[in-house]
Amino acid sequence: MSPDALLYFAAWIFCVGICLVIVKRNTLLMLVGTELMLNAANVNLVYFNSRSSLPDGAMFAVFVIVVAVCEAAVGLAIMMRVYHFYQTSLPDQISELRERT
Amino acid sequence: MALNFALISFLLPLAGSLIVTMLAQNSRIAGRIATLFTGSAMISSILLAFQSWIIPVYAQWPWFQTGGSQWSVGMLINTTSVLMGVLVLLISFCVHLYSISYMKDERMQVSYYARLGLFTGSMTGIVFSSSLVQLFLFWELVSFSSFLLIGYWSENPRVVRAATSAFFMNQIGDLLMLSGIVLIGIDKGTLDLPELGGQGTIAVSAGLLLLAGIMAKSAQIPFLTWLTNAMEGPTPVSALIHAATMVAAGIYFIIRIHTLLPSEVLQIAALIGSITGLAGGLGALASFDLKRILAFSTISQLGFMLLGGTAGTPGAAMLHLYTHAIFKALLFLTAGVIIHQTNEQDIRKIGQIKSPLLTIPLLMGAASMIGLPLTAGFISKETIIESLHSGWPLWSAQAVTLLTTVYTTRLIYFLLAKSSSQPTHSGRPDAFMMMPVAVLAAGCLWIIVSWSPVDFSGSLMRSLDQIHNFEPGMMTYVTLALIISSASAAFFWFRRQSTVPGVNGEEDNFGLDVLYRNLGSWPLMRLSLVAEWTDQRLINPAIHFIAYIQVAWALFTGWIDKWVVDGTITLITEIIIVSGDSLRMFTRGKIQSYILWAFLMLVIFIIWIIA
Amino acid sequence: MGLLSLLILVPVATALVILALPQSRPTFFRLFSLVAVSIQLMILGAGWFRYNPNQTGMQLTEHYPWIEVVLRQGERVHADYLLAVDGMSAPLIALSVVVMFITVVASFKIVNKTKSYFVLLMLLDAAVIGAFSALDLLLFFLFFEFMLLPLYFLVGIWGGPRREYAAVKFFLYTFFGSILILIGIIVIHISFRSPGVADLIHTFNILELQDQSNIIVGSFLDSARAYSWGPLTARMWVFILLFIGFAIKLPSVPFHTWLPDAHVEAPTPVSVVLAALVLKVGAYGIIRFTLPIFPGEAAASSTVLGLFAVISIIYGALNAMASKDFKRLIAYSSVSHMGFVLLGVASFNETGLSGAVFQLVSHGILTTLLFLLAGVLYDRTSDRTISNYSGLSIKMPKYGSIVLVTSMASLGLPAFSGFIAEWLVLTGAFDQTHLPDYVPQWMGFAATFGLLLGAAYFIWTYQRMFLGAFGTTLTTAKDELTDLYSREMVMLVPLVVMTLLLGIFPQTLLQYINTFASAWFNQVSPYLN
Repeated sequence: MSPDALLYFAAWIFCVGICLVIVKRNTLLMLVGTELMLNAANVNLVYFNSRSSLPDGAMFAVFVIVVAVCEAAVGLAIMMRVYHFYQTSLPDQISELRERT
Repeated sequence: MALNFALISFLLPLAGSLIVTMLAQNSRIAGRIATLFTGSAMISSILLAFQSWIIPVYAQWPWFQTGGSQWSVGMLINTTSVLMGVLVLLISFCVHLYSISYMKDERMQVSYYARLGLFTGSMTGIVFSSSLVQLFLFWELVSFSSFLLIGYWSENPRVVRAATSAFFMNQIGDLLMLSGIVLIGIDKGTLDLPELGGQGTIAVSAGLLLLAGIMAKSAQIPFLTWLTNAMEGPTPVSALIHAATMVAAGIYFIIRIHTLLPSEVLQIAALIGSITGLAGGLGALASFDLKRILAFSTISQLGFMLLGGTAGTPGAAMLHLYTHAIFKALLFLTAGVIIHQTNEQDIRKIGQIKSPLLTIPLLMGAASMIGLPLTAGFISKETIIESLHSGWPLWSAQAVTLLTTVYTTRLIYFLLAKSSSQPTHSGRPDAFMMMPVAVLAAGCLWIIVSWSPVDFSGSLMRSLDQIHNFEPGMMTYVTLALIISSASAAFFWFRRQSTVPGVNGEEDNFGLDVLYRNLGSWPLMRLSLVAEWTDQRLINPAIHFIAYIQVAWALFTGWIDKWVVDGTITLITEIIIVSGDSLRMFTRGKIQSYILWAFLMLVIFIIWIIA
Repeated sequence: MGLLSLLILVPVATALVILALPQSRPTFFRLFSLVAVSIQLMILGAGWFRYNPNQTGMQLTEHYPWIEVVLRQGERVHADYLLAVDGMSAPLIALSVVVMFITVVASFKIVNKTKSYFVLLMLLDAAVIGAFSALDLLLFFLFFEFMLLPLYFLVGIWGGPRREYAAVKFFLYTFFGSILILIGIIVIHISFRSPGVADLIHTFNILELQDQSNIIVGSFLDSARAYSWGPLTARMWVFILLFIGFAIKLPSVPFHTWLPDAHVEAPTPVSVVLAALVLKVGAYGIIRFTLPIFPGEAAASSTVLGLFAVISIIYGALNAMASKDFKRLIAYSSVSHMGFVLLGVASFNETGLSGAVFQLVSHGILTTLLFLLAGVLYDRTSDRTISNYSGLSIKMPKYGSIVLVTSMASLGLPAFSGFIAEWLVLTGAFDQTHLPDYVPQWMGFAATFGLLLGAAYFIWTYQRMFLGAFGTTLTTAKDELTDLYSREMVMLVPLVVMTLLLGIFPQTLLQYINTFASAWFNQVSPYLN
């Protein structure tokens, strides 16, 4: 396996995550997509850590995981409140942040 | 001194006219005042005659001038003008006297006498004028006053039409004469008769133009209809204007300028005179209206005078003018009395006139007109015939004489010999009417012309024209024979017939009235309508068209301004709005599209950074 | 203060005074206007004493510098306030003052908006007199234009049923003519210089413009350069422009169609001013300005001018004959008579020109009379249709006799001024013995025919309306046809006397005109080949 394959893999995961965020009609799944994007970044970091003598990549990845966890928790909380407020989990219907015509 | 007399004689009637207008319209003394003025003028002219019979007087005053030319007025007093002056004023005085009685029941007295005075003054002005401008001035004033006088009874449409046609026909001649005078003035440099006299003849064209004026004024062919129609006016007016003075002005003028006219003009004038003489005679023969007969007779006699003056001797024509004025005025005034008494103008209906107060003047006037011996008319007529050379002038003169005799006999027969069914002869004519008649009747005798009834070179003629000596000659006897034979033949003829066969339908002036209407007034009216059409349908719409083009152009410019110039601005704003609207898509409120676009922009940005 | 400026200033001052007065008292406006024209009459009298008819050249001159603009170093545009009179303008100014006096008297019968009416009338008065006395082209043009606006309002507000149309047509048509004149003036101005100064000063002064040596070398109008636009030289173009501009006002056929509408719709006093004065300014413009500046071009086109004249005479007369409205007939007779003026001018000799100027004065008097007479009838019945009346002289004898006298005077009966004018014009037109043929002889005969037509329509109209049995188709009018009042007699009789006096003693007027005609002829004759 070529070393670049991992990068492609990370890129692929990232794109999937983006697509999930953009396309999915469920706010929870948008969070899933966000997690995927974070994980793809993590893969990148780990790969480059393995190529480098410094331990910076791994450290960064640990931070990212922690942030991801916190962010997932907060995000879920927000999603719960949003669902409670708007009574829907469809992102299209949460559209008050727009130009009032 | 002579000058003063002349000036008085033409100014007094005008002054009288003016003064009379200040009176109230139905004033009784208007006539008497006017007669006074005219009488004084007549006396003045007679005194003038005594003074200047042999010795001419000529005075001239400048009238107006421009840079290069000068025109003057003046008085030219010689035998001819003095004789004419006395004649005009004498007849005018007689008419004034007569009118005091004849017109005494009219409403508008002042108007009548004012018009008479204006006419008399103008006519006398023509007589003494020394310059052609001045003569034209009075000539036109005579036309104008004749219009006023003929149209006196202005409520009657026939009268009005007669008056306007008289004025207009005269005006045609007058304007042609005006061109002639102007041309003469330019050609010769002067318009004063004495000065012109020494300069040879005038151009033929100018002469013909002057002749046109004379023809119109003296009612020659083709202008004769105005005179016959003018009989609608009061009879004293007819006596004054249409027998003695106004129509004679043309003859007087041609006598005055005889030496200036080239021979072609004189020949044409003679021809016209002879044709007119014959036409007038035929017209008189066919008419039944008393005044109309006299009118045609005047036309015929004027033609005779014109013929005599141009083909013969001017002095002879002047003589005949003189005698004709007297006997024609006499006949008219007598006719007036008859009409007044019988209220009838048709000779078939007047019936037999028995009163010697009327028959004697009628017979004397008729005799003078025919030219029986012992009358003045005899002398003047024969003088003319003697002065004509042989050839067509002589034969036409004889023909005119023949016609004159025939129609006069007819008239006399009808009036004196033929009785009719309705003789309502009422009343005696009063002194005012009879005095002038008597005076004029006396004037028909030979004495006023020459001491001897057979000597043509009597005192009068000798003074008028010293060139020829007139003795009764062969022609005289021929004429006499002609007259007597035709008179008797006519007398017997008219016992049975009322008119001569073949001469008919003159009641409308030989159809000339209709002809003139079709040739003259109708085309003129159509022409004026064409002019009006051009103005309303061509020129005005052209102007409107220009205005419409202006408006159309303005509308077009407005359209361009709104849709092109302004449209560009609008287009730009529309683009902005549309693009703005389309960009608004980005703010729909969909979270996922926000994220999508943000991500895309980020990618593009990174690519841009890297590339 | 010179007499001429005073003459212009008095009506302007009166206009201002009237503006300041309250609107409720029409008598005041009439009074003030009457005072103004009376003062003008007195000034006229003073001027008459000071004016010497035998002296050639300009008199009563007032010359003040007015506008001066520096174009560049050594070149200036200069206009003066220059007023003066000579043998042509002095009689015309006298005519204007007299006519304005009569107009003011005739205006007493205007009842609504009298304040504006008299203000406009006074302004018109000033403008007309200014136009006749100005010798600076720019000043003349100013007065010339100033005449238009008051007339537009006077016709458009106080006029008859079609007044808006008539007013607009009059204004636009004559304004168009003014534009042509303006173009001409500008070209003239840039091509002429004042003599005797080192700097190049463009001039508007007509006295300097008459001297052909004052043309700037190489300019548009320099005959040596012979600048041409298209088929004609610039000189010819400018002459044509000026001529057409003034011919519209004259009016010459075919530029005349504004006249019948304006005259018929205007109220009587305004018609009087229009016919008696404004038309004269057109002729004045041709004689004073166009001909002396372009004598050669004018002489070359004299036959064309004569043609215009003869067409105007005959066409105007024919249209008068066809008119069913009395005022329209008089309007067209004005067209016809002004044709005589043009004929006199086109003859290019002293007699013709004297006749033309005499006709200007004579026609001024006669047309005033005619329009006042038309007004007499209209005031009583508001109907001017000729066929509606017959036998009027039975009910209105004084009126009938004045109409008869005026008609006779207008058709050229001798002993009235019209005859003298027509005599002189005809003599001038026929007189081609001393000069080459400027006006062919047939035109003289055509003009005589025009006189015959004039006799025809005047006599026929008099016959239809005044002779015959009395009758009118207007049922209400029978009682209203009263004879003339004293106010009307006061206006009419002096005019009749004037035309009679001028007809019997024409030299009183001709002595003024002749000095002018001789001077004009001396100046123009070198250019007549």
